Amino acid sequence: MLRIKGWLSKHFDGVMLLLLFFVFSLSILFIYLQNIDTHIKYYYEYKKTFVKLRTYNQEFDNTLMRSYRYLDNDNVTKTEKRFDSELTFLKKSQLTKEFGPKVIELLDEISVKYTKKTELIESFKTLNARITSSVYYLYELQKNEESGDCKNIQIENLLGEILFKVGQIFLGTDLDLLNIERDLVSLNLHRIVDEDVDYFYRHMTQLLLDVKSLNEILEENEALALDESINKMSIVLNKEYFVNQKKEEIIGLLFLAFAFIILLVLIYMYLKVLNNRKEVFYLAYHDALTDLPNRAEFERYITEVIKKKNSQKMIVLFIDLDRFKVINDTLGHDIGDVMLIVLGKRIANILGENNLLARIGGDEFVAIIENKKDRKMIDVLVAEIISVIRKPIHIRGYSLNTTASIGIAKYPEDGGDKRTLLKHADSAMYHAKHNGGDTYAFYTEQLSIDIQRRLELEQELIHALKKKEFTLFYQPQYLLETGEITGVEALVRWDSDILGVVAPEEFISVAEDTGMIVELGYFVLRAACEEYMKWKTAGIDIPLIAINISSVQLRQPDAFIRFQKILKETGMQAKNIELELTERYIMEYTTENLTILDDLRSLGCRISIDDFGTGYSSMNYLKRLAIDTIKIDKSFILDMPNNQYDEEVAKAIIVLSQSLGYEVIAEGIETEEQENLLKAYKCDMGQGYYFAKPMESQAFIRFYNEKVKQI
Amino acid sequence: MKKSCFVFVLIFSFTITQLFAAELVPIPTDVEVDMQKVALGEKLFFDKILSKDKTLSCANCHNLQHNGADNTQYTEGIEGQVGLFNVPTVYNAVYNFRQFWDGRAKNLKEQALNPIMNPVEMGNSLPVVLHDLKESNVYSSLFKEIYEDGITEDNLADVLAEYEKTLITPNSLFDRYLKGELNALTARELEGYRLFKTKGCISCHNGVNIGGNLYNKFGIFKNAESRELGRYNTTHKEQDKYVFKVPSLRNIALTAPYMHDGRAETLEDAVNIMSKYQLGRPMQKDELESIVLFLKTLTGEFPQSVRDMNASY
Repeated sequence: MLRIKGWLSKHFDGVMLLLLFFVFSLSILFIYLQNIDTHIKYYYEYKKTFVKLRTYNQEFDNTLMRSYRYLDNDNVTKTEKRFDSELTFLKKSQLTKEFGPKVIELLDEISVKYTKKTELIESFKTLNARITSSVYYLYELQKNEESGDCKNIQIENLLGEILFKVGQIFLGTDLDLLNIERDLVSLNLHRIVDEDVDYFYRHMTQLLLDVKSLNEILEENEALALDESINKMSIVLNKEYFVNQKKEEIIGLLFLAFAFIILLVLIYMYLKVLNNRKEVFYLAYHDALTDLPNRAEFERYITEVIKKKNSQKMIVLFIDLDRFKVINDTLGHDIGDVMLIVLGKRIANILGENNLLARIGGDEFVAIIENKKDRKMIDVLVAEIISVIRKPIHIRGYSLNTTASIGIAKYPEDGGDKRTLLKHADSAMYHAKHNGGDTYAFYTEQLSIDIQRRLELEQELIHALKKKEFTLFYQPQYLLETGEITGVEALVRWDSDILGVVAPEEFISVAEDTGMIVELGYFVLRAACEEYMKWKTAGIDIPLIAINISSVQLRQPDAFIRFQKILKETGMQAKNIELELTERYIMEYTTENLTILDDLRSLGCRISIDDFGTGYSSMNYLKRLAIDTIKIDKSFILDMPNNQYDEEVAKAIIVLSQSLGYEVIAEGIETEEQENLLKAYKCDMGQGYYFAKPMESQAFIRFYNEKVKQI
Repeated sequence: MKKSCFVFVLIFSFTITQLFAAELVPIPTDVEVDMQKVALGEKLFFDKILSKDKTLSCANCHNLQHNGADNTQYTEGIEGQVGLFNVPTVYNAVYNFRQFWDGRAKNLKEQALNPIMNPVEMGNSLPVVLHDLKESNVYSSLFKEIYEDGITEDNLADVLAEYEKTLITPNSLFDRYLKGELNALTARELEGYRLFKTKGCISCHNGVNIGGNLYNKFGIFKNAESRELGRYNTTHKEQDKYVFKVPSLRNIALTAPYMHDGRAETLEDAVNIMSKYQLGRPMQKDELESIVLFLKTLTGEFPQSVRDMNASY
């Protein structure tokens, strides 16, 4: 039952069902109507038949009125045959089926009465023939008597009297039987005398009998009242006919009503469809969640605006929420959805009614600001948007924070057509994102160049490892005090056959973004280890080799195993490896992947934090981390001693690190002055062009041997 | 007296005109029939297969070469049995309003099977007849050609009746006179016709068949002492005793003897009996002769099919 219901409600909605019901009813009504129609069709046949019957009966009655006159017997026979055939037709017809059993009764009644009537008519014919013949003879006899030889006045008078009385019946009055009898009695006396009188007497006697019988027949016919029976049946048929006609009328009206209702239903459905279309149209151009215009609407709008020949200036903002995916995944989509709605409203508020804001992606919005605004106003506006997005959002007791990256492109300066304009806004947005998010960036040509370049690098990087385009360079690290080489940092170099030499600053981030860094990293690790072992066999014994590791690498589940494998395969000892991790990514080492660091340390590796001072590490955090060395970022060393600030920072880092028990190494020492300053601050080690540039393996071997000789 | 005379004359002439309004009419020269049925009916009409002992066919008692009837008082049926009535002629029987002397059959079809089943006539039974017919391949195929249901009681009667419809005799001298051939009748014959009307014969013998369209009592003015009771047998009414169908006078010259019981051997006898029993009027010798002469002009032409046939049976 439920399944049927389910199927029904899936395929038909309420309106359809209603429509079906009405169509079904109409069909039933139609069939019923047809049924009644056949009823009525027969009625006309029967009506004709009854008219005929009535006519024939009338003819019979007419015949019966023609007493004492010549009858056309053949005609009577013909009428009888016709009446008979009509009656047979009715008996064989569908009369009862159409009009019910009462009709059979009536039909039988008519049949019986008709049989009786035919008998009456036969008797009438018989008697009438006799009477007519007799009357003629009687008159002839009387004439004879008058013109006869032996005139008997008495007889003449008697005959005259009698005939006069007989003549009455021609005028429609009854026979004066009493007086005729009396006259006949008188006449009787003269019979013997006159032969004619005898004939007269005998004919009169017979005539009287026959007339009596004739009158009885006429009375019987009256009593029979066949016409009444025929009429009765006619009335019954009429009634039935009217009933059926009424039924037809009602059905007709119902038909009309139903058809009208169906029409209304259809109109309703049509209106609904129209409405749906409006809705659909709206939905097609609006985002269901935030009720903002969607991508389709945005595209249409921007195309319109660009088309307008009086191209006003226009600003396109690409607004992308930072790390929104993380929020969605951790807190759930329903919270994420609410955030989007709230943020959408906030941004829309800032932009105002005249500017279009659309949601074109999961966490992407785009705004079109028309009306010329100068750069300063744009700055203010966009900064407002940034800050309003930054404001916390309260949902279900949570207080949520998110930020956005906004890319700005100007029309027509940053693109004359839609495609270019949007591409550039997108680039600007990615630039802002790359700068850490929660900021905005204007499009510059450089960005395009950057992106172009980026693409190239991505393409080539894919094949670079296979093509063996990577080599390792080594930069020595040394004790500031003594100049002793304490280790080397392995630096990867890429010489692309297409692009030429590509600086690590460029390709490392690309490798990290693409995930290539994992394989690259292991390549570097292996190559460095192998090289180190080579050096060892060559007699060069350096305490350690520092290898840069990307957090991307460490996040892989098989990181530790692979690491171990390489050590084993190369024969490298873990204590000779120092892994360099950039400070920026150190904060990503949540409880998940801290273990990997612990595991590596347990093997014997050293951990150092690279580019220290540029990231977000907190004291608390540093304490927990098992690290060995802090490497001061070269940006602080570069401007020393000119930049007081940098100097102080460097000093602070040295003191802090050492107090925590870490070793400190300063990167990017390029001048003697810098070295001296650092020495004064008690920095442990250094690394930089001043001491040695990064060099190939062979070059390093030579360098090392030289230094050893020196010391 | 004068007044009543005037009235008489008025009424008299009125009656006369009424009677003289009665004129006889000629019979049609042809009928519409189904020729296939007629051919089959003809075959059966002459086939003795219909009688019980296969000695009699319809044509034996209704001799088409002679008068469509017989020339005995009562005909013999099978096994020498004697019938109850004088055989009426089959010629022009289609124009009679009923069939049989007592009018018990409404039409030719209703009459057709009765002689077959009458024990004193063909003495057969329907099942036997139908069986015998079905045995014959010829009849089976002939019937199947016309009737979907083949040989049945109804179809047999129908096919016989259809044939009998063709047995009409138009173009008698009198018919030709009526149609305008004024010299078809002699003066005497015309006188006979006039008397036929004025004596009142026409009051019963009228219509297209000169009779055969009403019943009347045989023996109105004198008891005819008929053995047969006539219509009484079907209606059981006292007044219907000795009431018979008035026969047609066409071909009367050929169908002696006359009356239902064949009591009158000549036409003169017949007319005499009529005037005494039916008209209740005296008839002079010369009047009678004229009427007889008139009656002889009522003989028509036999159908072509009969004229083409061989006479011997």
